[in-house]
Amino acid sequence: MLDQRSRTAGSTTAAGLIVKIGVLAVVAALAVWAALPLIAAGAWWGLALEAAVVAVVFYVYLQRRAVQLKYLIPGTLLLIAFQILPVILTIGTSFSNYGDGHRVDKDQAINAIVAAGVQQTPGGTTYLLAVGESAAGELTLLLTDNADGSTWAGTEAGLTELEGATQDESGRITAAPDYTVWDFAELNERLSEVTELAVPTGEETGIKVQGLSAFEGVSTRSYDEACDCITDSATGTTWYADDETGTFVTDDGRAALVGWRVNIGADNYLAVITDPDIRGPFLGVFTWNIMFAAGSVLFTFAIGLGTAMALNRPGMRGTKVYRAFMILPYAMPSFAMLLVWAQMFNRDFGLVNDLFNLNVNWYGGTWSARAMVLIANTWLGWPYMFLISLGALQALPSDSLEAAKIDGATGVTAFRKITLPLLLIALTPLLISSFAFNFNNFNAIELLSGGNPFKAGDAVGGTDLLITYAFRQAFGSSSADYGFASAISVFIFLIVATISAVMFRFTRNQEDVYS
Amino acid sequence: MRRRTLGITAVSAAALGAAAACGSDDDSPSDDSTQSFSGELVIWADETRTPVLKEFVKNFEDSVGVKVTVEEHVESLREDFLTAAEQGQGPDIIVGAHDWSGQYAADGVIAPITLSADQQAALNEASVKAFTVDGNLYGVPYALENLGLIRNTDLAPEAPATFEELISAGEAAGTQEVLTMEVGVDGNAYSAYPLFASMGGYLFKDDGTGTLDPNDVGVDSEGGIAAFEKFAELGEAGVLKTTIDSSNTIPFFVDGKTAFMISGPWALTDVQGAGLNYEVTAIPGFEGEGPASPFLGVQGFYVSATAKNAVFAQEFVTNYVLTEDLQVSLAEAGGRLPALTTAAEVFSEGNEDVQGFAAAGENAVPMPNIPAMNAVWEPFGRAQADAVDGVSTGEEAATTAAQSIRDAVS
Repeated sequence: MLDQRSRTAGSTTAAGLIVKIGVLAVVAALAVWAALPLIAAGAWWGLALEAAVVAVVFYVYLQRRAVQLKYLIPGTLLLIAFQILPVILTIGTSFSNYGDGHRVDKDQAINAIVAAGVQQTPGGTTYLLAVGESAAGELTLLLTDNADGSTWAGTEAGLTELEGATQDESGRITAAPDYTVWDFAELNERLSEVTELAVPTGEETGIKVQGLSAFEGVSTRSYDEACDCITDSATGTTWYADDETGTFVTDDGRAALVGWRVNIGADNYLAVITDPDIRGPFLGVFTWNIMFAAGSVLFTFAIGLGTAMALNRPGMRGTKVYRAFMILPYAMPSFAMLLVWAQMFNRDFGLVNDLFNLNVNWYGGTWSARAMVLIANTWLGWPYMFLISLGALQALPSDSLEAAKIDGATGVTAFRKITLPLLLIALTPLLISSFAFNFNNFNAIELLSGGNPFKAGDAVGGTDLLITYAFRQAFGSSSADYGFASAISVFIFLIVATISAVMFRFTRNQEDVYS
Repeated sequence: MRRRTLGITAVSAAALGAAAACGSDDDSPSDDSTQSFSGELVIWADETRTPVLKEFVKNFEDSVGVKVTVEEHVESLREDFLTAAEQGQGPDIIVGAHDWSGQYAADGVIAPITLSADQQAALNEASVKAFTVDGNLYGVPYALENLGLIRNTDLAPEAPATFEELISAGEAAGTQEVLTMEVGVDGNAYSAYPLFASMGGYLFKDDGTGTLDPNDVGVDSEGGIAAFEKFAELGEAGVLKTTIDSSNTIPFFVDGKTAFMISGPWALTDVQGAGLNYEVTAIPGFEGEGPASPFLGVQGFYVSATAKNAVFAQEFVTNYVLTEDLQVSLAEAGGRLPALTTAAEVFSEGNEDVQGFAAAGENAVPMPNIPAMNAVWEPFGRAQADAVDGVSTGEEAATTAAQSIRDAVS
C-alpha cells in the first residue's frame, strides 16, 4: 500500500526528481532576488506576502499528499497575480483622485509649492559655491563672487569677507583656514544639511544654493503646520490644505499648482453617473457597442464557417494553398493591418473608393463609418473562425450526417438541423469569448476610425465603443485621470461580466437540449 | 503633428499599465538599479539625443568628477518619468519638450530652476517663456523647432509672399494638390495654428509676460471666427482637405504631387532622400492680415524634484547645458536650431534649411504649456475638420469649439 502511494504521488524517476529540485531552486532564487529590493525599501508587508507564497509552494511540492493542489497552485498563483490583483488595484484606484495634478503625496506637494517661491534678487550677486566644515562641525558657505572674484564666508550671522582662501583656476575655494572644505561628492551627499543653513543677506533675502553655485535671492513661500497652510509673502496669498480633494486652495477657491493623492470615496462613480457627457450618450454607445461585437462575431463566423465548409468538401482540390491564403490576415500583426485599412478608406486617395469607383466619405457618416469598421474587423477576424470551424467540422461524427442523408435530408436541411447544432455545442464558448473580446476591441476602433465621425462639440463619436469613449473621457488629449478611468473600467467590467454570465447560462441550456 | 500622436500612444499604453501599477507603491519590487550607486548622475533622454549626450557628458564628468549615465527611453519617455518620479525614483535629469512642463510642474515632479539675468538674456526669449510655468522657470532650453513652408523649387521657383500667392502658384504648378498640410479626419490644431494666427485668432490671452489666462479663450474671437471661415473657404476650394493626414503629407510632396508642404524639420530627411530641389521659407500670412506664426516647440533639460544628485543635476543644467559647444553639437545631431543665441548663429551659418525654419519661426509663439491646452487639441481640430469638410460654417465651428474648450477648462 505504502509502496503504491509513493509510486503514484512522489517523483519516482530520477529525471522527475531533478526537474522538481531544479524548479524549486529557481523559485527559491527568484524569491531571494525579489526579496532584496523589498528589504531595501522596507516593504515588510510585501516581504511577508512573498515569504508566504514561497512557503506555500515549497509545502505543496515537498510532500506527497495534496495532489490536486500540485496541479492547481501554479495556475492559481498566476491567476491572482495577473487577473485578480489588477482588478483589485483598479478598484482601489477608482476611489482615489490619482491623476495629473494629484500624483505625489502631500509632503512632496508642499515641497514643490514652497520651492516655486524662490526668486533671485534682480541684479543680485551670483557665487561659486564651496562648503567648509569647522572643527566643531559647523557648516559655512565659502563663496566666490562671480563678478569680482572676492571671497566670502556665509553663516547664519550673514556674509563676512574671507581672507586667505586658496582658489582653483575657476575661482572656487578649495581650501580655507579653519575649515575643512568638502569635495563635490560630499556636497552632493550632504546637500540637505547645506540647504537647511540660512545665510541672510538682507531683511528677507538670503543665499540660495543651486548646484555648485549660489545666488542672492528670496524665498517667499513657507508652510505652517499649525494652520496647515502655505503663505506667499510676496503676493500675500494663503493656500489652505483641503484634505478632501487633495489640493491647497485660497479662500476664494484658487488652487495652488500642485495637489496630492487622496482617497475621495465614491466621487468618481458619482461623476460617471451624473456626468451629462457620459450619461447622455451612454445608451447610444452601448447599443452600437453590442451591435459591433455581435456583428463582428456573426460576420466572421458566417464567412469563416462558409469557407471552412467549402474546404471541407471531399472533392476539393488545392486546399492547402487556399488555407495558407486564408490564414494570412490572421498571421499579420493586426496593428499594422488596421492602419493599412484606415488608409484604404481614405475618401480621396483610398483603395476602396478607387477600386469601386465610389466617392464615399467613409469617416464622415455614422453608418458608413460603422460599415467600415465592421468590414475591416471582419476581414481581420474571420480566419480565426475559419480555423476553429474547420477543426470542429472535421471532428463531427460522420454517422449522424450519414443517418441524415439516408433519411433524405437535403444539404440545407442537414446543415440546419444536424451540422450547425452539433458545431455550436463545441463553438459557442468560443463565440462568446470572441464577443467579449470585440466588446472591448479598443484597437480596432482607435486605429481605424478613432471614434469618428465627430462633429465639433460632440463628446462621443459615431463608432465609439464604451472603452474608446471612456478612454478619451478619462485621458483627454494627454492629461490623465486614472481614478476616473478606473471607475469607468469597473463599470465596463460589470457590463461585460453580466453579458458573459447570461450567455454562458444560455449555452448551458442549449447544451442540455442537444446532448 | 507627429510628436503629439506618439505622446498619446504612449499615454494610452502607460495608462493601461498604470491603472494596474499604482497602489502597489509599497511592495512592488524595485528594479531601479541606480539606487545602489552613490554620486552617479542619471539622465533620461529619447533615442535621438541619447548618443549625442553620451559623448558630451564626458567633459562634465572630468570637470566635476561624477559619473554620468545617459539612459535611452524610446517613445514612452514622458510617461516613464512621471511613473518613476511620483514614487521618488527615476533620473536626476530628463530631456524633453517644453509642453510637458505644465503637466510636470503641476504633478510636482520637476524642480524650478533659477537662471541669472545674464544667462536668460543669452537664450532665445521665446524659449525661456516656453519653460515658464506659473512665473517660474522649470527647464533649460537647448533646441527650437517649428513648422515652415517647404517648397519644391522646380515646381514653384518663387517663394510666395502671401497665402493667396501660394495658392495661385500651387495651382499654376499643375500638380495633383495645391498644398499638403496635415488636417486629417480629426483636424490638426498644431498645423492649423499658423493660418489661425494670421487671421488674428488666439487660443488663450497672453498677459504680455507669457503667462496665459486659461479663462480667456480666443477661438471664437473675431479673428478666430474669421480664421475658421477661411478654413471653410480653403476646404471648399480644395486647398485644405481632411484626407491629407500624417500618412500622406510628406509622401505626396516627395512624389512631386504638390509644390508646397507645411511641415517641420522632421520632414527634411525624406525630402533630401528623394533628391528634390527645395527651399524652406516662412509660412506666408493672408493678404492684409498678420504673419502666420507657427507654434514653437522647445527641447530642454528638466531637473527631477526627487533627484538624488541634486547638486550635480542643477550644476549640469544651469551651467554645462548653456555652453555653446554642447548646444551646437546637439543641434547638429537633431537638425534643430539651438536655443542659445550664439550657438544658433554658429549653427545656422551656411545652413539654408536651418535659416529657413528660423525665418519661419521668427514670429513663432511657444506652444502653450498650461494644462488647459489639453482641452484645446480635440475641439479645435474637429472644428477645423468640420469647417474644411463644409459640415458646418466657420462661425458655427469656431463657437462650438470655443464652448467645448470653456466647458473643459472651467
